[in-house]
Amino acid sequence: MKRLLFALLFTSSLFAQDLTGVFAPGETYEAPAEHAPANVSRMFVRTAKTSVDLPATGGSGMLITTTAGARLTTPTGDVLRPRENGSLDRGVRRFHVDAKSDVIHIERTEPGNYRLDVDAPALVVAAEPDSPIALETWITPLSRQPGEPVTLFAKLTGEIGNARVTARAGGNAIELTEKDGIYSATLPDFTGIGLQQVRFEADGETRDGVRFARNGTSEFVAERGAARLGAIHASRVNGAVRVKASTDVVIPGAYRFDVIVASNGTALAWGEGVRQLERGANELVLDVPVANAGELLLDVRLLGLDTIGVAGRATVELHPRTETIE
Amino acid sequence: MKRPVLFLLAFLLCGVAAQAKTGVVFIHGKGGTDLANPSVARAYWGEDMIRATTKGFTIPYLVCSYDGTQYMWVAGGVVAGQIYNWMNANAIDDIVVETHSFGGVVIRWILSNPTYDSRYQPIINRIRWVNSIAPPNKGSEAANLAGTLSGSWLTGWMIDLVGQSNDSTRNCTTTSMSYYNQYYLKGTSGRPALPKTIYNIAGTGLWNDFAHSEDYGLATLSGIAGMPGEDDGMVSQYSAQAVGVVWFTTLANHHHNRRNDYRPIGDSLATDF
Repeated sequence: MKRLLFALLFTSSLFAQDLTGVFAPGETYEAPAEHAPANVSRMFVRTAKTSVDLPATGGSGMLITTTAGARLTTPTGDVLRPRENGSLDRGVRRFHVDAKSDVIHIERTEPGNYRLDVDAPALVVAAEPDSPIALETWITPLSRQPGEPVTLFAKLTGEIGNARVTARAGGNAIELTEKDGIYSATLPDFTGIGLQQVRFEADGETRDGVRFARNGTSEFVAERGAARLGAIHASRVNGAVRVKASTDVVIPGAYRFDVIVASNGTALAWGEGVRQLERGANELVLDVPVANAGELLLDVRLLGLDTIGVAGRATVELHPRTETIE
Repeated sequence: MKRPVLFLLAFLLCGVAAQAKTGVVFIHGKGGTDLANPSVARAYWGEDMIRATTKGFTIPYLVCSYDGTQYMWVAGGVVAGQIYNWMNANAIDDIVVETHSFGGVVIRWILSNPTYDSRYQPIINRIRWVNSIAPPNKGSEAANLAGTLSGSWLTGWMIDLVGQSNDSTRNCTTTSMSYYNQYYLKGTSGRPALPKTIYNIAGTGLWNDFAHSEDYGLATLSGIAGMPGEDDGMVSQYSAQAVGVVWFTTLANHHHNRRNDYRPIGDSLATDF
């Protein structure tokens, strides 16, 4: 009985290869974002052979992850010795995360360099979680088709005097250029496929001449170019929008043909269907039931399923009195 | 209280309650390859969490186990195979899914892509709803850190908490989840609705137990990773609550909110039965 109930409720999903549905009334249509939300970093990384300086901007807390038993000297000359755990009263505490690792928490830093002395070479991560100085990083486009340029962006918040921002992408060091507070660099011919991580480094001084450092990261997806969407035709057929798209397929396999129908910024309906596509030209057809007779925006996507990735995306408009448009 | 009442009403109206056989499925989060081992997956939750949720093991249950280093579609295939076989072998036709962390993304993959795998739709049909504890629905800033600190920069205890820069960690970065939410996953704003309701439980506490080094680690991660708003050391509240209905929040951090120790979360989950 219960299965019968489900069958009645989800008829389209059980008896049709294609799935369709409607959005909740008033749901706002959202086009895919050009980039992911910016990553915000208030941390930096240093390698210590025996000793390393950690610049603090002052006025906020600082976390330092280091090897067990490291010695910390503050800008004013106070010392947290290797066997000392510190205290709230001193404003500095040491936590033993495991036998090899400590975290040192400075309640409120003085502007200047904190020196860390270690017994053996160590990687040190320091963060000023409450500092106004942050490195924001993002990359466009989020979904990058072959041949498209990639642009790296960075922004430093806070009272910055001067700064240098570099990035490392695909094994190359890149200098970002500042304009109107935004640092950027465009890579016209990026090679590589899949999720790409780019590391950013910022070093500089505040307007008060205090040194700071920040490390950040951002990502984008370099698509494979597995297929390409060509001409798209839309028409109204028996209470549905029929979307036809031509595709040029380079890598045959399973793909999903997705359509979102919107009107005046409101998402109305969606449809999706899995298609096995051969190499070369393929014709895709999908019907999405839509009662709205007004002007419609169709957001059409071709998504890889054998290998996850966006093969193509386009938007077309369907006008009220036009049966078929391209 | 609303959820059991609504569910009971729906069943009474349909007159099928007497025939339903209910079961619980646990889907763990990311971690090591050893999470493919059933005993490791069971230990992930802790015996008391499973006992409490299943009301003293009286409700049929399945603890899914999959390699915790894989992408959601790989994990989804393994999880689907286990659920499909279990529900058919035991005639379970009413499933409540309990997930922790990345497990919430894995079940979203299944719910969002019913035609990707022939087993997905039959499973979806039998799911009553999903309770998702600390799911990184919009990604995790801690996972971003694994990219920033990848390779030799990632020190031992951070690897234990964040994970290596492997496929499941890459799956959970804020950029990746932004991408997947736009194209492959349903349930966020502007996307089609999920076919079944997800009730989310966000963690908002860090310092649960000073005796455990995980607490130091999670509190440090929260600061280093720059997690906005409240978080549980691994997943921010905004991310956990980006999909579904807010059920409740918990002060249990990411280490404790998959267990029934710092807060009796399993007891809350058991109120579904």
